[in-house]
Amino acid sequence: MSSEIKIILDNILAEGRHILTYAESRTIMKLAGLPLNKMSFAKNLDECVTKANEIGYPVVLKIISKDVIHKSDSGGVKLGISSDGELRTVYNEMLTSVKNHYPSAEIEGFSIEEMVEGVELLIGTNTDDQFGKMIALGIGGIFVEIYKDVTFRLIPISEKDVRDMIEEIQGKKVLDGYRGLPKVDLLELCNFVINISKIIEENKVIKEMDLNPVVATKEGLKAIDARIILG
Amino acid sequence: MVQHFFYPETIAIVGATADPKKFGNAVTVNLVNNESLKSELFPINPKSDEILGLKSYSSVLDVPKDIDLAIILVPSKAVPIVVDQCIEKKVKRIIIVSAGFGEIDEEGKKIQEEMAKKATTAGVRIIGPNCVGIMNIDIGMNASFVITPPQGNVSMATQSGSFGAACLYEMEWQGIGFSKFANLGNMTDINLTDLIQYFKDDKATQVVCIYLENVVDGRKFYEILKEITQVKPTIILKGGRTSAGAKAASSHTGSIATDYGSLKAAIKQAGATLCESMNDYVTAIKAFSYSPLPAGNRVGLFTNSGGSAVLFSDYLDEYGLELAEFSAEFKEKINPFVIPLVKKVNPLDMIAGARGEEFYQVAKAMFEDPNIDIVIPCVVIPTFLEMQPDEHFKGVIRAWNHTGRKKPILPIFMSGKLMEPIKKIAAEENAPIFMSPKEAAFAAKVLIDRMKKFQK
Repeated sequence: MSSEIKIILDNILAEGRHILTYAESRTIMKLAGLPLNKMSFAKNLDECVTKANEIGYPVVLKIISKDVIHKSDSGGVKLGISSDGELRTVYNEMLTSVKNHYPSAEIEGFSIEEMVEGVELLIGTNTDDQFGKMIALGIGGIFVEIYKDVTFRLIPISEKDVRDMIEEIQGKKVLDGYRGLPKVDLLELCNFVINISKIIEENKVIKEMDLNPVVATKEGLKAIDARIILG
Repeated sequence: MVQHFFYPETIAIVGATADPKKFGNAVTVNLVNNESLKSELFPINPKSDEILGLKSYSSVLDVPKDIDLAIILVPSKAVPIVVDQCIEKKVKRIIIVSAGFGEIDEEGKKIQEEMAKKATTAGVRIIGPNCVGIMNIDIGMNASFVITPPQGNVSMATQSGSFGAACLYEMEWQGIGFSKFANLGNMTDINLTDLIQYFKDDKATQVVCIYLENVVDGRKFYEILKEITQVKPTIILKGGRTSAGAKAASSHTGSIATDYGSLKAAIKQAGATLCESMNDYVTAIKAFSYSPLPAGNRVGLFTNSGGSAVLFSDYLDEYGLELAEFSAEFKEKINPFVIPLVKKVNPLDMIAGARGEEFYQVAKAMFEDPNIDIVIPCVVIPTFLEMQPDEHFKGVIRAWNHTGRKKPILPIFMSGKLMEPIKKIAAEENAPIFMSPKEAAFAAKVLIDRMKKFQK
């Protein structure tokens, strides 16, 4: 597994790139044994419908295009689609909206993703001038930059370190199953974070990794976005 | 490497002066006037034959004996010449107190680096420049211009000389004694990591405290800090927390404060006690200086002031403390020593008329009770019923002594200037006093945090 990751990362660097595509980031995650939400790639509406049925409604539809920088802002992401009919409508609206924002955008296709619900966490890594590789854990989601409820530790980390990090999260109460949200399996979370720590240790070339959010669902943790930057 | 700085047999004071108007005077006086210092002193000043009763020499080269430590107090322009002379003389260690180097400009930085290079090549090590100096109270050596604190088990490394002095004064006022103190200034040679590594191995040092603005090699600092916390409690106050603070730190010690986030993470992960204010810093140092670690987080609180106990209880949640449940046996035991009006619950409000002897009995019962991990007497000194201002403190310390000082005691005494006699007894008895419920609660928290570190 780790040698395969290394080969992929080396190839990307050889191409002179530093930012992994979403698909590449997902491949790395998969090789590392980190759980992801279900996702399929579709070229057109019919394929979208087929894939959506394979995954099972409700689903998320996202546009895939390297020209579309701000996916959400341009209407390129739609959550909670619950039927074939709704998917067809959303598909057409999305194409129109994205074309309005980016008239010359080349659309490569669509991703159909499993809709997951639960507590949104952030797990990430960075490279500090003074301390080298660091790992972050906190409350994730779109407000992460506002609340900054994230703690850091130096890589490598132990289970005790992760448990201390959890203790430090201001909003740690949401991990206990707040208002019907699933309770976060702390041992699973520890293993997930330790796993990330190991990947970074083995692949120092990864400068930053951003998993936001990692959703703690009823069935366990699922990363639904991954951004990996080399340096 | 660092040991020689703290245990010199011969000391040269370069720029020694008896003139109180000169900067070097304070260091000279601190060294010369300390009768417990056995090291031989050699004042160096070409303009005098004798300084404070000691023969003065015009250069270190004229001193008839080998010199272990030279303290340089002369103006910055003359420092490189003196350093050259020290190298020629084979002086083992040098402290450059003089300012005017890397903290000023690039030229100054170049000069200090050249001095360090020459010295280390010759096997001579340097602390400074731009520092207030060092102390080893265990041998009565105060090679700094800070006042001499009492002897104790705390050693402090500080990146800010004046703030280090402020902490030292505050600690002295609160009755905390020192083993060693060092301000490293611009750290052109000996750096913080070197110093704390020495504190780790130094037998007299039982508590390590650091005022920190930046670190040179973050990873190395982290690794060493992790080793130290395994054997000694280590308390850190970090300056340069916000970007405004970082700016001030930069112009202050001549280096940029590293990102607080990562340094904070490293300090916590290494198992040190991170403090956010001077008050917390001094409180944590005091807690570790006097207290054994508790076996758990259950506190027993008794008081002659119900209100103070309420204030203490406000911090239970925030600091992870628990009020111990009083057992039937315990209630039975204290029954003869409380008036019938007293409800036997924790916190135990013994009401204003409770006397020193009753405080002794209740404290003793708590020290002997297996359900109580930390004992907290909370007293507003009574000014009525002919009670002595110190009888409660004497009572609880007597109970601590009689039970072998096995559990932490965190006495809260709140009485402004009535505290003076209590502080005197605390110093004689080698016992702590906390000035507010919050202080004692924080002290309990840091002790419990460290206890938990060793739990698994």
